[in-house]
Amino acid sequence: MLEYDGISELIKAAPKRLADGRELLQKPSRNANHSGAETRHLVGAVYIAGYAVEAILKAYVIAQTDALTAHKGLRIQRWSDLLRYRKQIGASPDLEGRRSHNLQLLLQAADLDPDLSTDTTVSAAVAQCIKVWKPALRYCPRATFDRDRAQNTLDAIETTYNWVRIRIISG
Amino acid sequence: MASQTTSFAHIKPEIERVLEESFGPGAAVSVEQGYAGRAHVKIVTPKLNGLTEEQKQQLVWDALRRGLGEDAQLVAFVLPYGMDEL
Repeated sequence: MLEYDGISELIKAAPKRLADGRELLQKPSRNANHSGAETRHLVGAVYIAGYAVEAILKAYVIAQTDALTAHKGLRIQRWSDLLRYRKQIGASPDLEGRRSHNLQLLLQAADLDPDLSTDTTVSAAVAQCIKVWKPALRYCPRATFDRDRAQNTLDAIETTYNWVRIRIISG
Repeated sequence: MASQTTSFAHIKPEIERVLEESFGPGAAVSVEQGYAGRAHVKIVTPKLNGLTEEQKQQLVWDALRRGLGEDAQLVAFVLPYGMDEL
């Protein structure tokens, strides 16, 4: 059974993960003068902040599906409810398991994309999130990001989060 | 649903043709179905090397709008890569 998969939990958690990432971009407080201190937490910053986009896209898809099925009285409010419904109707793309962390698949499941074609800033930010972020970053042993790239990626994450967030209308 | 599938089936080869004409035969183009039959486009080409993400978006969207005209609205999302990103 999934934990913390309710739409309100996802909406509340998303900005917190972004804030966690912003904090990790700051100069470390421990061993601040040691070699590599400047880049020590940058992968962690991007990794944790990226969950803001995953969470808010999931929240959007839940809200979208709940609205579409309102006439059936289903009340889809959790990611697990959504997966069950999508399986029943044979919906594509498959969002089960690790696919639920795939930002491109989440975007394909959402009806957000018409707006993307008209806003290059947002479409660039979304593209950057999709290119850079994946859960496997948690296993990355190297300082893959320099400060500029980490900062740019977090900015793209924030742009994407804000853009999706204002489009959620949840009951 | 049928019209969405028809739209995607119609637009997919057109997108591939337009992008190959714009970026050359060396461009790798992938077109997948997004929400409601709209197209999500992935392109990899050295002609996008060294550009910012916004510049990449602009170049590809400009090519799509020039080549597809009104049908460009059937394209919903573009994911452009330079070879230097791989």
